[in-house]
Amino acid sequence: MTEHSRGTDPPVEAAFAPWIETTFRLGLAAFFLYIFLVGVKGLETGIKSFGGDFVDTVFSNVANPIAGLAAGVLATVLVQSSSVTTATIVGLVGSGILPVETAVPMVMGANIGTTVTNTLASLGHVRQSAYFHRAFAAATMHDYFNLIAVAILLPLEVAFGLVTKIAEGIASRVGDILPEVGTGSSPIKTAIEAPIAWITDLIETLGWSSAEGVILLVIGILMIFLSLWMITRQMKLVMSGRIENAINGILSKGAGAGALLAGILMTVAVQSSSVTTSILVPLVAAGVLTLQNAFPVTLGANIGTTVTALLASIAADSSDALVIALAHVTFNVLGILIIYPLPRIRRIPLVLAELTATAAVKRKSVVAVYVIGLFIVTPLVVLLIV
Amino acid sequence: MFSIFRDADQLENVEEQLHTMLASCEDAYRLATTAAFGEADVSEAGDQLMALDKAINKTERSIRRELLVHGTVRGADVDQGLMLTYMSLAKDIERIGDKCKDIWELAEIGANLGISEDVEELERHRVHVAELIAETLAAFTAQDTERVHELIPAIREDRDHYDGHVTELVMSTRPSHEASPQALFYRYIKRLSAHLSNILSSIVMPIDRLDFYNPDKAIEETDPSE
Repeated sequence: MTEHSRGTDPPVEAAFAPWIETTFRLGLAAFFLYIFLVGVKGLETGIKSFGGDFVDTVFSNVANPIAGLAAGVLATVLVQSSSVTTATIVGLVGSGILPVETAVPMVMGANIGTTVTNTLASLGHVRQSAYFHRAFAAATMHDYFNLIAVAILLPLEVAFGLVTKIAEGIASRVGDILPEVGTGSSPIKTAIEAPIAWITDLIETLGWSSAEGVILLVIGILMIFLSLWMITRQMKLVMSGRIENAINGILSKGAGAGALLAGILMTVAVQSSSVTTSILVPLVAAGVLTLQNAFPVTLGANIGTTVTALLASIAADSSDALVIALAHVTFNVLGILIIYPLPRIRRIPLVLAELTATAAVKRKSVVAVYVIGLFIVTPLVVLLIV
Repeated sequence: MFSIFRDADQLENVEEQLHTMLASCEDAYRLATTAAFGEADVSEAGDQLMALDKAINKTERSIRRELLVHGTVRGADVDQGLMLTYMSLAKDIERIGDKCKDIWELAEIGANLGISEDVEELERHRVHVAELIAETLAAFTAQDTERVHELIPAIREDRDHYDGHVTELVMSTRPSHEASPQALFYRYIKRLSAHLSNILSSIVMPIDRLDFYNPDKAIEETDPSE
């Protein structure tokens, strides 16, 4: 067997290795968190330098809430990460170019788009019908929950600005307690702005000033992408033991508030709801975790993933960035408060997921229609029409 | 609520559970044989044995779940060979529990090996197997490769010996109520020993040769001082 099960004492260097490795990985995650914030700042600065007319033309296309929703879905499907989409949206709102009201449907769309990752993960079980049925149901229950939440909350947002108003209320309270948030300056903001100033200087020195906006935008998005990927990777390695323990706890203790909390903590720790939900799919497929017990973990992941947008708002100049980040939190919390407490309503996404899985097992073409239709064709058609 | 989010080495936890299962098998064998040799109340021993067997089975299921969670969470970083080995070990240990139940069932159907004319020989094997379980647990815990290479060949010799007894009893003209329980006992301890041999083989054999001991194909030991 491996060294793991040897009965002898580990050598001195091996005994210290886990501590060194953990510290190193946490240090790397902290460094990439900084890079992430610099990326958001770069994106914000890049967009600002495009000028009002160009930006107005681009964003007038998503001023319609349905188009905004479709854009959020499509962007998240393309980058396979709601964190990247929401961080970008926070950057756009922070630059003052994208209004919060327009951004809220996009954030809702990001919530729907992110579920494509675990739906794709469920396809790995397609060989065995029973496994695939459970896996596909586990993946699609997240889709249905988000679709139902959007179906309820988007009209309320359009009619009354419900999500935005709650988020503004919370942001105003946060502003009272922490006046430097949003508009003020802080050592963190100074540290974030410095690299962008260096890059801008370099662009000018090279004589590429006319392309400054595009360069900063591309660098910003790449930094957001790379840093989130690295943070997730490092934190997953550091937190694996804890995540395993949390899941074993859910398996033995069942669903409920503990599972919801575990979903939140796991997702905050790894900065990716897709990681959390994709872990659940094989466990449900194997039959050790029921759909009912996996459901609250999925909902916890929905809340946990909003931390990325909150972190991104640190880098932004405008307090609206905090409002849109809080709108993301508000949307997910409201969705859970509406759907989860009442058993009859709670069952709806589960029943729909079971029905879809049954249809998918009978006809594999249903899978293609579902995935391509929901995540690609529908948002594309909506964008083209609206 | 936060206790489930503490850090832990899940594979270490699985190893501890395997040791606990094997230690429970020691107790299960003692209970089964005391009943089969007429030294204990059959029903009382049976209750204790069933409780132990239930615990062994529950631990096996727990190990399977934990290994699945470990593999799912760690993905490509997982030691797949070790996980497969642990799955195999849990099954072998669970089967030892089953064999103990089979031995106890001899007493339940009315057999008493303690009054047999071959009681000395039976007693000798009974004690030998008890020692073998203890030795397997010790070698497994210490990952004592040297001891493994001594124990497995000895178990193979025992297997031939038990087969000899079974053949002799089947061919004998002794009454069935005497010969059958003895033949079954030898058959059960042969299977039990085979499972012990499988457990031991996991310490020295590569994953594809698990349960198929061959000293020439064993994993070569490296001397850390070299």
